[in-house]
Amino acid sequence: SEIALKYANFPPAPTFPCVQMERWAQEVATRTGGVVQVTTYPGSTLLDAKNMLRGVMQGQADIGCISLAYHPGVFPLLSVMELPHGFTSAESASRTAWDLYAKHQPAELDKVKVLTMFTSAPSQFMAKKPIRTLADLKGTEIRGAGLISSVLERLGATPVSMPMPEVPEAVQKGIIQGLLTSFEVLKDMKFAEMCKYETVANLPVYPFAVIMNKKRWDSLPEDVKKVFDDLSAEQAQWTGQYMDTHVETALAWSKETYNVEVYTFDDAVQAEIARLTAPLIDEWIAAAAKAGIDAQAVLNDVAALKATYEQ
Amino acid sequence: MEPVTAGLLSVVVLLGAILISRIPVGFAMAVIGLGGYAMVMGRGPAMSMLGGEVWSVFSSYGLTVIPFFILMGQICFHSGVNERLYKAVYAWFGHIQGGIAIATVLACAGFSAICGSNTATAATMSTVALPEMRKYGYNAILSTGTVAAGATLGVLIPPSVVLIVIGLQTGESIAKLFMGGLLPGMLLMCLFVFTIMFLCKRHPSWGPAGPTATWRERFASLPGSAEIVVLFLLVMGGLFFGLFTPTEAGAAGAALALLISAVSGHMSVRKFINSVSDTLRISSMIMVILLGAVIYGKFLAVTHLPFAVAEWIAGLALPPVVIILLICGIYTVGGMIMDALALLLVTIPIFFPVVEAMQYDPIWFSVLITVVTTMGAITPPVGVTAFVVASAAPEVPIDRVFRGVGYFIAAYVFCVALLLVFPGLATWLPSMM
Amino acid sequence: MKHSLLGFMDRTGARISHVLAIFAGLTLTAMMLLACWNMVGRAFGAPLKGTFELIGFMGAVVAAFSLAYAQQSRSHIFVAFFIARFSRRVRLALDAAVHLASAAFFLYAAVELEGLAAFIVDMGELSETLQIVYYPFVQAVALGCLAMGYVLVVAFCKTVFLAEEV
Ligand code: NA
Ligand code: NA
Repeated sequence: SEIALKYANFPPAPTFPCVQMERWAQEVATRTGGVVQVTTYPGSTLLDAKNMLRGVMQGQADIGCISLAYHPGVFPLLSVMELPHGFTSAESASRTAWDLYAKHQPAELDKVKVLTMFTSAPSQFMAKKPIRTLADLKGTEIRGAGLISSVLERLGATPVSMPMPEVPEAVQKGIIQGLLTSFEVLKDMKFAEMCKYETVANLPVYPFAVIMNKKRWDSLPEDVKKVFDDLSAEQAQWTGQYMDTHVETALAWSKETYNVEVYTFDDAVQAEIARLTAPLIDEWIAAAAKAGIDAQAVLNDVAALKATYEQ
Repeated sequence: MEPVTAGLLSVVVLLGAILISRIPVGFAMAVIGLGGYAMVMGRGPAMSMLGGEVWSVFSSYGLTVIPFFILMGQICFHSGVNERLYKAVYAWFGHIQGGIAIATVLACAGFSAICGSNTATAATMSTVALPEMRKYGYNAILSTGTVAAGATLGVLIPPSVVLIVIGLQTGESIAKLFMGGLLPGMLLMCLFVFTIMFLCKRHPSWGPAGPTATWRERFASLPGSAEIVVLFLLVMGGLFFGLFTPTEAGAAGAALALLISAVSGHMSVRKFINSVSDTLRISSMIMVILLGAVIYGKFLAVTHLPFAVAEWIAGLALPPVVIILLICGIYTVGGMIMDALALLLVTIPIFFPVVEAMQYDPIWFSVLITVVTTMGAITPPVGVTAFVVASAAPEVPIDRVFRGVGYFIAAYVFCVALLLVFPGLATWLPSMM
Repeated sequence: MKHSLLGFMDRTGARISHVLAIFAGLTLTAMMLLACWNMVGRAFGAPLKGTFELIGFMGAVVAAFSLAYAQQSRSHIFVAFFIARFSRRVRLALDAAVHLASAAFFLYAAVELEGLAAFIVDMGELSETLQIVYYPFVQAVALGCLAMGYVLVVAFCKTVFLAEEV
């Protein structure tokens, strides 16, 4: 007999969280011989970003993709992935995120079944003027949401938060000088046209978790559960790789089409960034410790996993 | 029942409920959407959807621009701006055949330039212009028709709640949409004026000439409405040159309106309180429509009806122009029955991807469907704006109002035709930004 | 007896709507000032952090607290093209059904919003940018919906027991 599952996602269909959703649905259908049929709902048609977690827990969707950054305070352990660790690729960050989850099985997600985790590519600067040193950032208005805005503040920039759809116009009009997010928007939202100066800073990634309603998970036959579990680590890696390729394509396209300049912060600047953003890590440690988490052990795990996957 | 069938059936139930009972369209969509969702997805998911969506819609930063723009319009209204504006245009055009009707259209356009909603424009212009036209013996067909048609300009001439909502939903730039609506709005205004002149030629008794104002009176009338020009230039200029984002423009506009009216001595605490309370009423009405459309839209999405319709259209293998005409047809009929805002909210997710896939300019398409849907707002059997005007003029039966607006439909059709032939009408200004 | 009780309920609804509307009006004014302050501040290189988050929350209060007031002052436009063709009895029945369904919708919404607020508390969720406790705003929206539900229930009772038409 057939098992029908509803999988909700919040960003528009062409974005990477939805691309990985379609891939997962396809893979599951193949590996279960068509027993599991997943209906996908991209673009917030079923649940939007803010309602995703609750919606999956209450069964509005069977499966959903949550962005951890949308729920400050809810994920004391996994929010470690939002810190500036200097990941250079989505693949290494995604594999780290999944392994970290698999090892710690944190209590913060024990009301749902976690199917996989992945992250966006590292956040980089895209600006109308060259940013080669931290002095270039001083007082510069840069758009950044959530924790990214705290990072910007620490680096001396002026963080401006505004909804993403307003950003292209704000950059064009000079309300802001640039933005700090992963490079795929250069092509996907045509930022290359306005922001000719890109700087590789390898600032934080955005972690995502694919979660499933616990009751629904318990109702699945063992062989299906095994298919899902076997897919977890692989899906994390696939998504990271897809994201990295997508970013590279966007960057190549931007260079070719708009002749953008790509600069990479040198080691001295990176060391300075680490020094300036250290208080953010301390803040996380304090919050995690309060939630009864061995914060230092988690940080060590992240460092070790990063070292393994960044080779 | 198949979900798609449930979706289709719900459209019939919705339209039936709106036509038969005194249920406001937002309530109807909310109730039917929630019920339908519960049928397809189960009661538990429907309830958690309800809580989540009410919070999402009400706390949406993008939507806060709506009360701001309405507040801007209400501050102007209560400080007497549109009355003075009307007097000024009247002093210049009142003496010609149908002159007061022409003045009404121009004043509507001017008020539209600061007010985001055509219902609000219809309600306020009715109270200002209808008594005046009655005083000079204008035929009710012409006077109510003029106000109803003129009020629809509120949706095209920026700022416009409808264009804001399209922008929020599709990710298109709200500032560009505003600029895109400006020229077609002005064109419609001119076409309305021609329509009135033509009607008065055919039926001279409909719009007898009013008294001639002296040149001194004419020039003396101008400063009284200068605020509206200043305000429009500040808000649109600020948007055009990027002093603020579209969502901030509403707040800036409301604050500027308050400042200007206070400085010119037309504002008082009482008037401000009245402006705020009217703003709350009007924006609450719009928010309920938005809430209803979002909930009904959630239900439609889970029935997969929108996807089925989009696939059906894409599978027709017709020339793009024919598909555009087909879509225009759907919006015309939809606009006749439903509120423009609600209709657009529910249908844009269906048609926008189809049109983008055909490589049409999204700004142009947005403006086009806005014009077409707005035409529906004054088309019988069920034009919302016509109803507002009819309720402001209790002695005029609704069919006379519809007869009046009927004459203006030709102007609309001509405007749509021009938009189809010359897309630049909607795309030229935005391309200059 | 019926009249005096319903009259009392009606007056209570009007009073609640009025009080909530005053809060909504004050919040709307504050929002306007906050947005302007942020714009001016940004022009001088010092934008307020999290303005748009706060404005979103305040907008929720404005929208929810004006629901009952707008309903009380009959601001919602309906079409009802065929309504004049029905007898008074049928019209009353239709009105009663509309009021009852609408009341149920907003009362359910109030309950669910209260549930959402409880969920946020339970999860310890904070706001995205300012990282503040924000569930009271959700509860405020629940309160607004509750008031709206009450006003609609009164309208239903008036239709059924007093045979009052809209
Ligand atoms: Na307008
Ligand atoms: Na209509």
